Amino acid sequence: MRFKRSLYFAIPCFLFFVGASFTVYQASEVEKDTLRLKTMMDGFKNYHFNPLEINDNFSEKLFSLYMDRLDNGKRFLVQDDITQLSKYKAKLDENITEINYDFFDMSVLLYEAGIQRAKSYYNEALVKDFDYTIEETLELDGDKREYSKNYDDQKLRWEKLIKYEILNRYNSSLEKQKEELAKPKDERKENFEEKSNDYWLGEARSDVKKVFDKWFSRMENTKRSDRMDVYLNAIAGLYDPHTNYYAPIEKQNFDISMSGKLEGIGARLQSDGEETKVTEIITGGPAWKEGSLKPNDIIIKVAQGNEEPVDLNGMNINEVVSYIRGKKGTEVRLTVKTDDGTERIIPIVRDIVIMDEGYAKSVTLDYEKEGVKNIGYIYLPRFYADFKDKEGRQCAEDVAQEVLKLKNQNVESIILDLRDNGGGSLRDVVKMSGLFIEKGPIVQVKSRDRDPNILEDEDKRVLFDGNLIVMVNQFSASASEILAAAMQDYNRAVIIGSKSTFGKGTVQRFVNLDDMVWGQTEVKPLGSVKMTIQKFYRIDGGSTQLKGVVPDIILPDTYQKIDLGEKEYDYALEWTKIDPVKYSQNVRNVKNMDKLLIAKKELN
Amino acid sequence: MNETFQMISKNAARLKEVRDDSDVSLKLEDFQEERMEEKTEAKKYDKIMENAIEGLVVKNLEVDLKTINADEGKTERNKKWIEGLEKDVYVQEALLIMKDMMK
Repeated sequence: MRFKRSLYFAIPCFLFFVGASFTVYQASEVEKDTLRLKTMMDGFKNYHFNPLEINDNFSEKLFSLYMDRLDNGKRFLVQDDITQLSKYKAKLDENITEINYDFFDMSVLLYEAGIQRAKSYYNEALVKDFDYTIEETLELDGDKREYSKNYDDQKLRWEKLIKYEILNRYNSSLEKQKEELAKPKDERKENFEEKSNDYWLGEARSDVKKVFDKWFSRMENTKRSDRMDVYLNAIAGLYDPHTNYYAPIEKQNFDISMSGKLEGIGARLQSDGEETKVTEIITGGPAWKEGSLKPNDIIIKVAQGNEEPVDLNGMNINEVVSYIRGKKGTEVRLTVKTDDGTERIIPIVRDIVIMDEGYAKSVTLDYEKEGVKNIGYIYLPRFYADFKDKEGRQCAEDVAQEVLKLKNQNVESIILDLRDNGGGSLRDVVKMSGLFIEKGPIVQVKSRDRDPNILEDEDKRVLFDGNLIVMVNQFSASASEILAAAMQDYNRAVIIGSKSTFGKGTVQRFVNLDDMVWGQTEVKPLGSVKMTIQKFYRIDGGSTQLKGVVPDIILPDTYQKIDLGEKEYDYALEWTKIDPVKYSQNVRNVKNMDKLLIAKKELN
Repeated sequence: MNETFQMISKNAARLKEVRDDSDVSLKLEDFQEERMEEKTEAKKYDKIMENAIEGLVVKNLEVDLKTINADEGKTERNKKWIEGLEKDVYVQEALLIMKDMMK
């Protein structure tokens, strides 16, 4: 098997697909599922940091994780469905090793029946004359709900859900009207007219109908393969929270977000499950150069060059995007409906589109009343890297460029902002940390059954030897935590931010399932698996797993009371420790940390 | 302690309460009352980080201006970014810590 040479790591983004479908499954689809499942399991067995025994214990854990993800608001399945499915509770391991879909198929069948039931309860509730004076409550948090006991109970739940949706909208309209009425007449909104309560109640009801009709139609259009993705991801989720199955389009999205670059037309799109709307035209991209496509245009059809156009109605955004993106130099023809209702065809030749908002950037800061002037500030939202193109943007190089630009402005102190930076390229964080020290170890990575491997900055040059502050928060993860930890261990920078960072101490690698299967092109592409292959450790031997990096100076934070981060995930790998390595630097040590701490004590 | 940070701490406690309280009344009168309370409470905090910090000056680098001013979209995004930094109490705090580090 071939690995892509690059290492990635970032906070995962789970995609939950829900919906119903009534198509007859084609044999090739089941074959494809089998291949996806088998190959994924092989991958875990051979390469995951923490391989699992496929036994009854595995089965029970999978059962509960999958059920949580399938119907996580407990809106569709009832207790009896759970009882029926429970007979598989200890058999899912056999379902996997012997490859049968008894459990999965039954779960889909019951779930889809649940959607149909819910839809009829919803339609009944929508025309019901609710009594808003009765004392009753609704639990909004799906985790705190129990499954409905029976169909009557489920019907009641749906009545309450819809009642709540209407009530919520009704109340907002009344509040808004009240606010307007409180203003003097000449300051009110244009065309303001006081309406009756019944009017607002009717408006709320029709708004709920609009939203839920679309929602149900999306659910009914969900394919078997999308549901299989949920099942595969539940299996992956047992290994650890950062091990996930990625459908081909999701992998493509990931690569785009890592490189800030794509091949396509350069328009941001949004789909509500029915219509696809243009929300933004990226400056400098092909659509921008062509000039006719505008924000708010609705794309109805897409044709590849002079081929037959495909109707986009009812497609989800991933499907839409797969028709629009494509190799540089190819032509796509969009049939577009504009605001004024006219339709026309816009041909656009695809090209490389750069989205530079995510790249490193810097400014200088002056705060003269406190006597500080000309401080450099570098913003880095992600440890991005273009793994496929050496000429593409790599964040370590970019940050080095920003440092140079700041030095040209005679900046002597720098603030590096890693708040909300969820991580990215391991190679880049090692290189970037090296900009601030001579040379030496930055982080230790350990594969299963192997001794730790020390990743070092081997470049003796020091790009920046001035004062350094690293800003973090609880969403600073992975590579951000490596950089903060290394600078802290070297005593090279002061780390400031929330009480701890995210707490992810693992390295992932993408495995393209196609590379593991010989031939069988008719069912490819199979998608990719991102899996945890290593843990990383600070040079002092500790891990950032679960614990994160604790800043030197802790600042109050909006989310400080809410439990966040790696420790909140199911099946997160445990915190472990290995031997420290030797490290020291004399570029610049933070000298007066004690004084800094005393000076800032009042903050906490 | 910085007044804004005090507000942020209080707001954090409020957010936690709002989050934990997920059981809502479906009685119009109670619903309205709960929402009104939440709204009034939230209003106390909606000015956090809304005002530029007095005396804090954020400057683009001369060498970047050409790219930034190349088109409206970039200019607009840059403007918003700079405005955000001018209100960012964490950046302000970082500068104060930097001042102590430089001593």
